Amino acid sequence: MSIPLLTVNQVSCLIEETPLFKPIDFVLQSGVLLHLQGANGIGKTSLLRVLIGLSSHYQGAIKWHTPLYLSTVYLGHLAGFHALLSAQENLRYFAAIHGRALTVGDIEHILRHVQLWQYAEDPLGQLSAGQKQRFKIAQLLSMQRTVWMMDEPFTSLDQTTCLWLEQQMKEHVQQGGAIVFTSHQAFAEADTHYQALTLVAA
Amino acid sequence: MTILMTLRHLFWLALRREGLLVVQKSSQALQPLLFLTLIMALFPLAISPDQKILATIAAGVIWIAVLLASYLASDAFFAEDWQSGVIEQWRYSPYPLAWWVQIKIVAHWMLYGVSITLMAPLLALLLALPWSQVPILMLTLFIGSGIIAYSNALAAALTLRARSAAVLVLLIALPMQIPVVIFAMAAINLQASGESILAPLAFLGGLWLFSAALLPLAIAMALQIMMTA
Amino acid sequence: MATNDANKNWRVVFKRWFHQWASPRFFFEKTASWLPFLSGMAIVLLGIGWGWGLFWAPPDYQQGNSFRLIYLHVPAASVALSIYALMAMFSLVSLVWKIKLADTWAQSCVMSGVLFTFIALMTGAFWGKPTWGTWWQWDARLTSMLVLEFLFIGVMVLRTAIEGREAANKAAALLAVVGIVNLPIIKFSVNWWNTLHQGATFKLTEKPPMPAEMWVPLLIALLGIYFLFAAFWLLETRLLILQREGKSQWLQRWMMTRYCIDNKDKDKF
Repeated sequence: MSIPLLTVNQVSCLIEETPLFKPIDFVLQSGVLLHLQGANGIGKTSLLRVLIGLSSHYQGAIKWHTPLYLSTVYLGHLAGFHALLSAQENLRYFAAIHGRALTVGDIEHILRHVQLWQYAEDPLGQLSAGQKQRFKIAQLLSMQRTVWMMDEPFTSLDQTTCLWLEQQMKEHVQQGGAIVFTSHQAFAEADTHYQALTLVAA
Repeated sequence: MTILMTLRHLFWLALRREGLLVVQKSSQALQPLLFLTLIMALFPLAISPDQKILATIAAGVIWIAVLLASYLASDAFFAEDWQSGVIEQWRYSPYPLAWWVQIKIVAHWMLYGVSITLMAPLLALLLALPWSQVPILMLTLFIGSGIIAYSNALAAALTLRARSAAVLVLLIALPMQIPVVIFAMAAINLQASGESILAPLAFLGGLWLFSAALLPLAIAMALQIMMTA
Repeated sequence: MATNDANKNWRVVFKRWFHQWASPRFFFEKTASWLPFLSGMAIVLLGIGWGWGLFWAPPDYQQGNSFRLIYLHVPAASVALSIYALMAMFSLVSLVWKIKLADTWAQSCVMSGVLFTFIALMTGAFWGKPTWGTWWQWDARLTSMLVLEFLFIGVMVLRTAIEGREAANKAAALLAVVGIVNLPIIKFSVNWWNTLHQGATFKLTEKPPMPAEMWVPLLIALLGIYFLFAAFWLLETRLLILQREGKSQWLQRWMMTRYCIDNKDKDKF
């Protein structure tokens, strides 16, 4: 049973009133992994930011069928955590920004799931790129939100971590969530959940 | 399904984070206090070690030094949260951006304002300020540093994407802080001459309320401006 | 009902009028011929005001001839304050209604603001030397003027320092709006501070009323300097529109019809 979460109608991002790409239409439903594709600088990141209301430079209509701030979680290029604080502290603060109080048990559960529990006390800046990426997944999981909005989640990851990340994303959509993500590279195993949308220059 | 955290819970959590950050970079965080003490040493050397002369300028010198020390770290006030994307998450949070700004400033005030206030007797001692004037100096420093924190934060937000922000912060924040210095020094001087200090203290308090109520909105707007274009 | 309708009607008319003027093209084409008028008025009025004030007005009974500086000082100080208010108003309009041209209007206030405040400060110092015996006295109004100059410079520097034109303009607009809220507070605190440290300053305004042959030229010079500012402002606004809209078709066509010697070519555009 798939539920429509977001309807996008003739949307394009604008720079100084010029559309960046040809207007797109799609309906995001639960259980869907939506891959936004397109050349560098076409406006994939801008589109993600527009969809979640971080930017208002767009034309067309965006309609969320669920309360945006309570059902989505966004991770952009920027880390969203402070390198000097520990994984534990960062996770607690991240969840608090979005209004969720995490208990110590919650934090342990999530960090164990992403295999970072043994580093829970270390400053995040000391971890490797792959571990930081795992922490980003912990951030996503901590929110228990339906829709994940991910900007280039696969950059600077080795193959093992890539596969692990894909697995996490698949699990999320299998459990009825939805994901919108941008990436240059092709998704390894395209299945029924997977949809791709390519942005074309205007 | 999802119940948002109460604002009080949120406040303590955010305060705790700011506190932890200060502990993490304590050597950096102590710099303004060190700077303040170093400046104090210059005045007797440059002007005169004569206790009488020092006593007349002491309160003003301390106030100016506090103001200058406050600029030291202020161009970096939002920089780390900005570069790491935390401010982007604030913007995307169900709570208003101004609320996060408010917490960060209050946390900053609680850490710096209190430590500067507690340092005041030591500074007063170095510059031979009469002990009778120390309590009022501490009071004006405490309230004043609250107001300074808001205007410095505004300057920091406006210059997030500016080249050579350090002087610009001064240029933006200083005119806004002229009334603070005037009222604080007036309170100290009036008390020294045995007059009523009610008026300047009331102005100072009013200024603090005014900044606390309105400036977070302006700062949130500035952060949003920096984010959009 | 009738008044309500009339009211609504008036609002619609105002809105349409405002939106028309907020369009760079309309503004640029309409104001094309204003500059000679504004600068002409400025020259005539300043000529009369200053000529009268400097040569025919009687010398002041206390200050002698040095009082004649007020014919430059007072208009400059007055127009500088008005410019800040105007700049803040345009900035507010650009921030609230997101009107781009309002931002251009605000931007073209800044340079004149810096200039006129500087003139007011300089003339204040020149007037201070014979009157107070020092070039600079920490008098309440001079101090406020100095702060005003800092505020103008802050707005000017912030705009040039930020990368990204839209962010730069919006940040400068926000600073201008915050500044106008602060200005009365600063002014009040400086005045209050000045009364605490009452010095030997005596003020222009606290003297017996000026005779007409003194204040009439002052009024004319005041009016003249407002026209001078209007001319500066319009010139700068038009230059900024040229710069910002340089690529747009209407502007290129306008340039062709206006400056091409051979008008046959204009059909191409």
